[in-house]
Amino acid sequence: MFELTEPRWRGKVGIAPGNASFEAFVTAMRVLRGEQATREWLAGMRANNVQTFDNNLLILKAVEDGVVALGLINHYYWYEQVAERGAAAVPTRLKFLSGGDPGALVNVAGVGILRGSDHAEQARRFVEFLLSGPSQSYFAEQTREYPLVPGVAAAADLPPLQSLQTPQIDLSDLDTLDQTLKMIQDAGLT
Amino acid sequence: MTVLTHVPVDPGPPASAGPARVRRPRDRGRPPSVLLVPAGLAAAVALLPLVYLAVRATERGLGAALEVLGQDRTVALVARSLTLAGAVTLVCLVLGVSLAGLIVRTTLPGRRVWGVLVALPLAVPSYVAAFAWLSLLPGFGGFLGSTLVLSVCCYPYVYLPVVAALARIDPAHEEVSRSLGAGPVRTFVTVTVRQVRPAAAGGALLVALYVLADFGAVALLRYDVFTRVIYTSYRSSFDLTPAAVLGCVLVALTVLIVWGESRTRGRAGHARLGGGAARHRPRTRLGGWTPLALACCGLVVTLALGVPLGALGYWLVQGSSAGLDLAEVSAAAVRTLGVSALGAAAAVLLALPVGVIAARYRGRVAQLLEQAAYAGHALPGIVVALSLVFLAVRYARPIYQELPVLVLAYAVLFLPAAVAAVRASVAQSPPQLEEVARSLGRTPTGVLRSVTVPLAGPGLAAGAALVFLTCMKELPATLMLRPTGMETLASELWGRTEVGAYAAAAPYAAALLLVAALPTALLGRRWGATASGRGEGPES
Repeated sequence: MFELTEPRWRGKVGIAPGNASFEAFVTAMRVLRGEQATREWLAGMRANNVQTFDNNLLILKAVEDGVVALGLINHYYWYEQVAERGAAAVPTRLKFLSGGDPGALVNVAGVGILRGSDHAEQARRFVEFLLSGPSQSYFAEQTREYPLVPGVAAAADLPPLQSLQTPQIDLSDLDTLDQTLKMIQDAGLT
Repeated sequence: MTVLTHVPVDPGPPASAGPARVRRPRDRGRPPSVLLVPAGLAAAVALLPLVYLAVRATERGLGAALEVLGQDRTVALVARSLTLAGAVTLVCLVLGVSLAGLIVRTTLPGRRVWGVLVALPLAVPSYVAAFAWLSLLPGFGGFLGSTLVLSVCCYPYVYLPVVAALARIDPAHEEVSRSLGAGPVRTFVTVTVRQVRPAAAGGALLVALYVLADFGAVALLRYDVFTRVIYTSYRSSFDLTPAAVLGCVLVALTVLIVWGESRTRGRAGHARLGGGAARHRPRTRLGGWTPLALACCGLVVTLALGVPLGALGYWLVQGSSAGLDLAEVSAAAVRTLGVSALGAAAAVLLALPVGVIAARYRGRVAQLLEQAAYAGHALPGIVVALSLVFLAVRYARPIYQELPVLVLAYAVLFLPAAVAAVRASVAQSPPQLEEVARSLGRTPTGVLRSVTVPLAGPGLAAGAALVFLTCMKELPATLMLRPTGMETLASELWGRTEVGAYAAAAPYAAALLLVAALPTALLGRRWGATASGRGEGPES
């Protein structure tokens, strides 16, 4: 990740600064590498003419069209493309970062129930539905995400979850979104 | 983005001057409360978003607001927005004035067809044009891309009033210039252009305001001006102070531009006694310049019409091979018709009392009410939407993301167009008819119902139709305020373009183009006839 502020990547990198995954990744960088380093990285990306997009799919398309050389996205957008068009027809490749880089963060798509909810019972049933076998199989097979429920296998074309060299981080430490949003904004990216 | 299409291109005479030919309107005293109360309500509704935006911007203390104001980013945004508005306005002035000169004043072959063709881009919503360019040229965008797309969408705002002005002016000045030895080009630049300056300046103002308020094109073309940054900030942050503060700055810029234009207009004096005579005048022979002139017209029409239509055609063919979901498109069209009809009805209802007062009464109150109703001119769609989100979430939770808020946004945005239509159509009937009805014992309400409104009927209907069509094209407020799950033509086009699904977006773009083409086709026929003329005289 830290190489992306180097001159050879100038204007060639695409990010979606308003995207929740990007925000979680920046929070992870703050937790892992500290405030100062993260602030400098964001400023460096801006100074390196990073291209901003509204969402991951537009980044994917921009890389495909050669508008940028590299983009930061969640893995499953790429696998959806491959599932739809076949690997041979997709002119892009996915790289999982290694060595515990903050960019290798594996985050959860979580669900919660508001304490003050007027419909707590329905909400609980909905959460149970999301965690049920069929729902998790849907996420595994259709959207190519890693299922979190024991007994549901990930799609066969994904690298095994255990093989990813993710950073050592407790996901519940990613609870300072406010500061992250402010930092991204102060860097002039949103 | 569509807010600004409604500033009357050729502002009519002030309220008191219209009926003056019939009889100078006397001071008819205070408007009756049957008008005053609803007009006050309409004015309040029109000002509400602006006031609440300011409240929301300073809610976390003046310090927080000032901090946002002082950021480098804000300064850069002001510079970038003004640069884009300036560049587009300049290009539009050059294109609009030269095309009008070529078509009205020269022997350009096929000028009647050109007259219609070059007016047509008015019907291409800027985000549809942006979609077209983007779908053909990946990576298209930024400052140059945005300037190109907005310029080819906006130059008719200059072209149309300049054509009208050219047709009206007395050729005597030009003849004097020619007789004193100036060539045709020099005469056009130094004499003719100066005479059409007020018309061109009015058009330029519309262009500048359109660019500042435009959201769809700059967002798709990824150029960070105010509207795009406000939207991103609103979407990606819990702290909405920056979005609100930036919204206020955008409104301030808009007001500043309107004020600046009115000041320069005030100073530009045009000495001329009487109406002059718009006589037939010989057209300037293009001679050897004809091919170049034709090429220029062809280039503009290709960029402004050819590219959008070509892209649409291409993607429609591509899409139909993949299976076109006509049912879904027509469902979105029906929903769009429904919500736009509600928006038009709300705008005209609110505009009715204000417009009647503006046409029939003078004095401070009447003036203030009318000016308040025109606030929508200075409010970009994204700003109105943002303010209504704040208001609804806090004070009207049950209707947040429900239809009424969206309809209210349309009413605020398009109230100026509706008020202008009401005022013009009411002013056309003589006030004596109302006085007679009063003297025969009708109540003020009865007069309204049986005399004023029926007489103004056709004008009101035309105004409502215009607002209706404009609502159908509206993008930013629709995106932010539409009920969850309710997709309109504009939101479907947006959602599909946003993920690069151009073939799937094309049917919605085509439908929007059709909607937008309706009023322009009518306008174009009228203007086209004036512009091309028969024989040599522009007035024949």
